[in-house]
Amino acid sequence: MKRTEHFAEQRDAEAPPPLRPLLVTFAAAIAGEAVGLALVPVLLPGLARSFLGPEPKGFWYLARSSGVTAYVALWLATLLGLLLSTKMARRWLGASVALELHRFTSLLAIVLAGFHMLVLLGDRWVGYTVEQLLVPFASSQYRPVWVGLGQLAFYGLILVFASFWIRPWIGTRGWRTIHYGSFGLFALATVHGIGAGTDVGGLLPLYEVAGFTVLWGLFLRLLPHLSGGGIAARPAVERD
Amino acid sequence: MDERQDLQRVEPNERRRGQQRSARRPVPRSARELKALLAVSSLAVTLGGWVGLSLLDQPASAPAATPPGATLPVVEIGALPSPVVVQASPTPDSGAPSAAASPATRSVPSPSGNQQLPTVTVPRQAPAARTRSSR
Repeated sequence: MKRTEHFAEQRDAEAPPPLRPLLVTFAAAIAGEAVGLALVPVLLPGLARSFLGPEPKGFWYLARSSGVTAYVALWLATLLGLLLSTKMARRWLGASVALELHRFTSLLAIVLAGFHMLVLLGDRWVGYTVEQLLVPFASSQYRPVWVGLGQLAFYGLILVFASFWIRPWIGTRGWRTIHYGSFGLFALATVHGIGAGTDVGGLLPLYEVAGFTVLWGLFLRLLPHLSGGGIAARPAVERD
Repeated sequence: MDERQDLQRVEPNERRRGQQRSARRPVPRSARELKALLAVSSLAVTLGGWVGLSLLDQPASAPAATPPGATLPVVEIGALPSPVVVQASPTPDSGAPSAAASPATRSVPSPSGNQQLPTVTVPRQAPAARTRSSR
């Protein structure tokens, strides 16, 4: 019975996730933003005023809050990925639940990071153009190196997320290699948050805890390899 | 007999392929609930951050600018004949200063008449103290 469950979990992990929930999520996000844009000026005129005037600050505030939320989502996605690969997820959450949450938090991080970038177009103080937002290191207005590192992390996140769907074509080894890169992009996102974020003073504990937990998870992941057991390519099948 | 053996040999492979082709197992309810919780909480954090920053930064973003022509309380530097009148000057980023746009100031004579007190000039729009660090 356990063997059957394990095969089912393994099959779920290897199969590309269905596209329909992704499209539904994107449609819901767009619809939610449209409703928010229509209702906020009516319900919260004080907040709507933050988008008006010669130098509106609302865009900057939204960019800051969505950037931090995107970082937390990326942190959760990285932790869940580590839990899945170290088999701890099966004990705590169940492998299928952890896998679903891992994919979902990755998607959440992409959506929030995309919003974090796009909303900066409205801020006249930094005055980004579309090209500067899309091309890494193309801007010069505001901490260009740190901003560029964040842009690289965003594209890396999209690549890692897309690897769920292109796994049948790139194979497990290619998928795994791309997934190892997610630790690098997590580091890039952390550096971006510390270097470019203006809230770093209050949020430094968040970056510290996030960095420490991911490093700890990575250590647990590599422990069998370090102790000579080698990294199991797949979770070992439990004996019946 | 041979036919049954063939069936037994083929069946597991077919079953496995069929499983791969078949729909994925339904997402557990707990996963759906956790996903909904994550989505709602991330939205709440983002919007809460915007509201909080807007409210916190309100005094800094709207400095109480002294309008031109307003009277300021005079600091006691001897007996002044009248309160100092605030006069307007052009905004700092309005281009190169010209003679017409130079800040108009008013000298206030001291009671003794042989010494001039410093004049007070307030810009028309006091530039908000928005530095990169304050963002």
